[in-house]
Amino acid sequence: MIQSVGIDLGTTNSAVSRIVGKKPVVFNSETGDTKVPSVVGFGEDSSEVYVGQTAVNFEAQNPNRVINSVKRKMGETDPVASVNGKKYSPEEISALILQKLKSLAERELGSEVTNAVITVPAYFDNEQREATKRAGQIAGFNVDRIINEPTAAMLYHGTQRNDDMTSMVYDLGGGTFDVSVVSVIDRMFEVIATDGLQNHGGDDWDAQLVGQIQTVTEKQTGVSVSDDPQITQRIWKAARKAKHDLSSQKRTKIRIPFLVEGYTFEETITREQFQKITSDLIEPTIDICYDTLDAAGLSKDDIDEVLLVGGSTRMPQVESRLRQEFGSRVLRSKSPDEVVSKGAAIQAGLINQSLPVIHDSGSSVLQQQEQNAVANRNSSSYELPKKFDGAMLIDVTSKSLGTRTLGDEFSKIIPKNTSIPVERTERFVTTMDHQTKILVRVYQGESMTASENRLLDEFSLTGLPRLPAGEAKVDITFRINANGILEATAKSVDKGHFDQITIESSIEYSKNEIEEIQATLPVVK
Amino acid sequence: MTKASEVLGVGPDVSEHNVKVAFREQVRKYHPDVFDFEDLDLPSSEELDAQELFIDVEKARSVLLGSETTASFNYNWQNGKPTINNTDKNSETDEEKTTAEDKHDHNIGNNRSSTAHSENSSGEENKGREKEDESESPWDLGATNEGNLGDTVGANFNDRSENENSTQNDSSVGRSAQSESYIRPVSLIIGFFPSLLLLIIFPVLGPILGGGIAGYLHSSNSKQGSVMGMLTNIAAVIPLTVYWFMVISRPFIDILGFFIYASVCGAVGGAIAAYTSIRSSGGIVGPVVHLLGLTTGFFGPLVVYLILNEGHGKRNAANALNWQIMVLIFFTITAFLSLLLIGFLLMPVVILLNVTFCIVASIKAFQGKTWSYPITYKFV
Repeated sequence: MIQSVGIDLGTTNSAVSRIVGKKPVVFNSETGDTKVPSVVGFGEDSSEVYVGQTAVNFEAQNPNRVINSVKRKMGETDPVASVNGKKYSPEEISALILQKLKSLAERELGSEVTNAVITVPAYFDNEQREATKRAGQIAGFNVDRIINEPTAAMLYHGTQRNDDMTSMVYDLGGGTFDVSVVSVIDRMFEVIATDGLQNHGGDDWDAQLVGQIQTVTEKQTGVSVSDDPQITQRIWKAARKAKHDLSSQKRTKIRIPFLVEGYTFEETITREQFQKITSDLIEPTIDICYDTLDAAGLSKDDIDEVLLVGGSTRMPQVESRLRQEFGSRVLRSKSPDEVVSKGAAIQAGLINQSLPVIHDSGSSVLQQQEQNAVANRNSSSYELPKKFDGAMLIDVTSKSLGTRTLGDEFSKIIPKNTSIPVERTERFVTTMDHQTKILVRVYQGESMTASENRLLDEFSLTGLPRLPAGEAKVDITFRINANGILEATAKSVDKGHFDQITIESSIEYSKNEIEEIQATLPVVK
Repeated sequence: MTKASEVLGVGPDVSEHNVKVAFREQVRKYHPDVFDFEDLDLPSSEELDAQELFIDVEKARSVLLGSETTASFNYNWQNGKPTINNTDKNSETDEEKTTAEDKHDHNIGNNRSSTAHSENSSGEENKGREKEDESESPWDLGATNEGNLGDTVGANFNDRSENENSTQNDSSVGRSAQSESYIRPVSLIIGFFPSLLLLIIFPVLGPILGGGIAGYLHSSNSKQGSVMGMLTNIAAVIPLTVYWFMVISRPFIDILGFFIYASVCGAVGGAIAAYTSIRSSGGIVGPVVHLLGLTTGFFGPLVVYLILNEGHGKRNAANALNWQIMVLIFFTITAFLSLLLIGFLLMPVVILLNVTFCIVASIKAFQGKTWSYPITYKFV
């Protein structure tokens, strides 16, 4: 039985959901919260690992043994942590968070969770998506699909509304910023354009406040506080709390007792002051909104609504700034940090079409909910609710794919914002007389200069016929399947001479490799 | 050959809106998430793959909306439905698609008859390898750059509604012969700055030069001066045209073309200068010879240098000749550096230096002085 969940793997917080009865439900963690902080802490013993709220509590005493915001490092190969003699890659840390979410979902559902749809920021490139997928595999999931966060949010919102519309999703999370323009026609969700900013999110707002607190402290005490991890950690915590307070209150008091010996930090900050020190952070996001509209070939007036998603849109200045631009069309979700994971849960439901019944050992609240919504709870599974019937998602590529040609030029083969799955072929010619070999470098990015983009992989095609320059032709085909996996093929097309090499530009782990990695990781409880 | 309109099951004159509607209808049936053989009246379920079907549908939309020009499909489609049996005799498509390895073969066969790419090839040798070398050195590809030459492809799809049939069924021979004219950007760039400079300088300097010479010879007769200028222009435009033609038709002779051009210009300029110098005491040769160097390279100054006797004119000619040899050396170096991408930056610098120095030298010569060019080795 396929038990599939939707996971929002966030920079600061993560969430896991599934459709229960008639609607997607975010599972509660042991603290009763729907959010699980994306924090991993390591104890002295190598098998001792903390994820989520326990790791946050652990961090207060052991700031050096805790990893925050690992999502910002996704796709990098350098280890992010070295604990007890083992080096952890970003995907392994992410896998620990996913394991936590898995066990949480399993506790609620009372049965093993096998599959998952995981969301990523729209600006993530192929490498980062692959890393996320591998993290899912290491955590023990079959990853059904990697989908974009704003798209997932739209999938949830759109199935609630059930109207045709063109929406813009403004997704400002803890460490990510994304915008997507999505058209919904007859429950078909078609992403028209998507864009985002790398490493731009609520953390940056905190950082501004942290900087202020540090400056004030240093001025008042003459002691430098930016180097001490424990002090820094306390300042961050206070800054986050102040930011959250200012979303509901006009002013708040920041108080950090005995920050430095004999000194208690105490200042009052108003909403206006906070807005002022962070005003530079909003403007780039507004620019991206207009860029995305341009890319979609739409104007401001074509947008029916602007959907605010992500915890950081709780900040009142974000909403008021967007209202300046888009007026009353700006909609704020009641739970902006749950919609992404709910959308992922819907996509998981759409892929598998049936939902296993919650086991008796699972959450009794959820069982009750299911009981009320589903007529026949006796069989082992039930069908997806009628309201999701026919809903389907057509996502787009978030970055252009191409190859390097003469003069380090980037020749796009699949442009940004193309619907996937997709296949595109471009014809190229040799540049030298009697050239019998070509090197195909697969790049992803938007720069006109190939080497400024991310090199995904390269391969060569040999055995071209000996012809004058420009006469030996090669067709290069890129194809992206529904799971976002890229294949590149080069083929000589002269005189019936067909030669081909197919690569998968991803590191696909075999089952054994995954098991090996799993064995080296501590078990998350 | 399957047409894009058949994949979406629309007529040939379909509007953009209807393409989108038809696309959505097809997506409902063929997207991998929803594809179900049993719901559809399809020939044989085993040989159809939802992903390949969707790829066809997406490609057809892109073609009909004009963002793509090639149209090769995984399946044959009729009226919005895929058919298994290949009815196209010309196609080399092999319809057995059971394994992942052979699915790519489909495109090629179809491509050959449908792709009418205009191919602006571009070429560059990575690191000065010998042409016969078949070693492990990676080679760059030339990029096809659709529509730059504005030929068959654009026409194909702009006129799609009227004659999709005829263009697609045309034998590929004629069309590809038309479209296979190559431009290598690198040769354009090597030849581009000198050519642009010449194009700019000749219309301007031609009358001045011709006018100056004629004025000197014919006691300030301005009418004859402009006639002379026009003749100089025509003399310059002919080899320039030949040069451009050669670059466009056969890229690899562009350097040869430049030499032919320079020789002809040099001969013309040299003849004028020599004629002038024989008739004069050499006073105007000084200023002229530097500008001659700017327009003809080292040929003009060389001719003047060889013809003149010792004096102000010959000294200036020697200086101009030395400098033009240096410029030639600089250009050769930058041409090679272009392969390493630095040359593109250095070339304008050389051109700028050349223009500046020649004008300075010309003015100095006009004032009766003999100005030695900086950074110049005295070859003569």
